[in-house]
Amino acid sequence: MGRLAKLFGQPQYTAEAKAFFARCPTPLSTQQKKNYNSLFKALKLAGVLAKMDVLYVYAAPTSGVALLNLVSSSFGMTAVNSPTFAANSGYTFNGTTQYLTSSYRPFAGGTKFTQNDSHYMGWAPTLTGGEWRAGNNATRLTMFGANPDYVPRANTAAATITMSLASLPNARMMSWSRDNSASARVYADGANEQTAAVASIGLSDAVLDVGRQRFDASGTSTAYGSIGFRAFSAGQSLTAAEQLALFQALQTYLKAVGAI
Amino acid sequence: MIILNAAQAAHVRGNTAAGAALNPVVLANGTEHVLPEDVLDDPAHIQHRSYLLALPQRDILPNEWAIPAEA
Repeated sequence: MGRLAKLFGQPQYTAEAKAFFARCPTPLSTQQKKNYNSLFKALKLAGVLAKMDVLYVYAAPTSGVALLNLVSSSFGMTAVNSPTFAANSGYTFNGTTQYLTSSYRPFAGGTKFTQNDSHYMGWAPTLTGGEWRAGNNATRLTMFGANPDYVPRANTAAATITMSLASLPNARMMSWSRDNSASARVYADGANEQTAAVASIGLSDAVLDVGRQRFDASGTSTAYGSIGFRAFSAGQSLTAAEQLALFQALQTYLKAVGAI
Repeated sequence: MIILNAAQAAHVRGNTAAGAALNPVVLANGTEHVLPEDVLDDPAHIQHRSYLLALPQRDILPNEWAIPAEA
């Protein structure tokens, strides 16, 4: 069947892409399927897909598709208080009440993401003009808009990683990897910008929110960001080569749909 | 912003459609909860539209938000 399909010029989709297409609440066009399939193929080839618990590509044709986890049928997201969705671009937030939430909670165990083997990645449309937030107390992507403006936490305590984005005005994909208890690597657009000697701490008991960060399990104490997201992922630690492959695969997809 | 008291916030809080939910945010005064006006135009929350339209609306000053110390 595969050989016949190839013979007649029909697209060959990966098993992961087919499973994702089957979960989509609205049918995708052939071009949309090709774009997603290329993303799946690149991530699979690089060994990145197998390390992910969640990959959300918010630059999707519809909000229903944007909220799906590309990796599995678990951990789909919910749009809370009507954040703004733009087709093939992503979500933006009002900075005070809007966010995306999920049931993804590595604290509970059973995830590839663990205290000393983990990564977090977010792709922003810009990193100026507001705050950018996702995650929780110990595990997050956070940009305040004041120097030092980028203060992610890679399963770390307060203010153990700081970085100025002044020298990276065009950076969009911010991520980190931790593969031991003593240090974490911080990346911008797939390039290693810093290796921080920061000890890991236990994971926070909180589900994943994007567009805000939780300071407690209930979500009563939270801080919101207005800067949006085009994509987000979390899972096991990614090597330098895998971080670069993730950046290149997402960049190719985002260019194909006109998001960048 | 739409202003709700605790009982009104509890009434609308929760999932409203597939992939959509309402979660009023409490202000620093601990008694008022708010939702953005955007929810009134979102078809996902149509079941609460009439209820929310009847509630007061006002602008929220920066110092009225409950900002965590760690932010």
